[in-house]
Amino acid sequence: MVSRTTDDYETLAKMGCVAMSEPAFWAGYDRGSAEGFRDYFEQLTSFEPTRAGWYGLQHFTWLCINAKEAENVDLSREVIAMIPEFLTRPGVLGIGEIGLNKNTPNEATVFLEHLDLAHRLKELVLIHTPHLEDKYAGTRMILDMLLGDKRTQPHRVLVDHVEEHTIRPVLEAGFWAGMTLYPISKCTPARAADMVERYGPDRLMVNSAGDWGPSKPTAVPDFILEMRKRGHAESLIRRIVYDNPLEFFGQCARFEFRGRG
Amino acid sequence: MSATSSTSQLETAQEAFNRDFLAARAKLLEVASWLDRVDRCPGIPEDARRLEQIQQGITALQSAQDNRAEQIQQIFSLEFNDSWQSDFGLQ
Repeated sequence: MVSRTTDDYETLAKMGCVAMSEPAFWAGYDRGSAEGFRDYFEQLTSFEPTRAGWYGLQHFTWLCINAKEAENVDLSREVIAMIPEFLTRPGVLGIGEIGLNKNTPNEATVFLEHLDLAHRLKELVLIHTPHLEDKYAGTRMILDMLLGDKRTQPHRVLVDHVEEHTIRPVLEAGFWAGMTLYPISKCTPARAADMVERYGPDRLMVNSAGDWGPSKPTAVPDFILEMRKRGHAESLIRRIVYDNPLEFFGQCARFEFRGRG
Repeated sequence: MSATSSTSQLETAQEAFNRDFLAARAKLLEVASWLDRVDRCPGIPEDARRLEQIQQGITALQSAQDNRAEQIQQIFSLEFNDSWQSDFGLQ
């Protein structure tokens, strides 16, 4: 987790985490060049797996230029052209997290070019849906783009950060859906548990975040506790936080997961 | 998979109500104290759209339907434009 200290890996390991999936995302500022992304991709594919490995955690990653920086189409195209150099590295799961931020034409253009790359190279796709007031319209736009490409196979796409008003269209279209737990800006453990109860466990998973703003990488255990308080079976909880991620990520040949015991 | 398939509720309504009553009470107090705080400040908020959203959100809490969270999400969402692709020149 580029944005977090090593202590967070230790804490995650102590809380039962065995692996993580880190998408390429924003640096906290707009990077100035494609070489900046080259260094970032190097960090994601080399140092972070090493650092996570100090605590017995497997680290997997995704590659893209994130939606916040996609307004710069020229830079985005340079980065997209560079992605294949890193795609064959161990632990790289596919293209992501691509998406929209403020739902602009340039962001949509860059999204479509990432999607084309993913389809040409037959990679999994991880989607970022926008924040707050932009989320509903942005999710609908993303679904339009995904479904508008005949090559899209919904079972190979994970649409992340779903909330109450976006989860249904994502699941009904056959995609995987991720619920991202944040203290304020996205979903809480209780609301994620509500969505599991409403929609069932098929193609649904929950994740946490190690972001620049208020975030809590250890939020998945909070969800586990909430589900237990409600009396749900361990098999259901395990499916959401363990089996479903393994099923989705396992579609990538570079996902070499070493389970424990 | 049907998007409407669900997992059984294992608690009774009374149990679910009791378990989160104090947390819900605290969250209502947060909203109430925030509104009081704004009232204590000179002037009035100028963002009519957001004020209206807050008022609609409070009204949605009193809805008899069991999708209040979804309703409030929509209240705070920008509208989706069905013709966005042609507007963007992508079709």
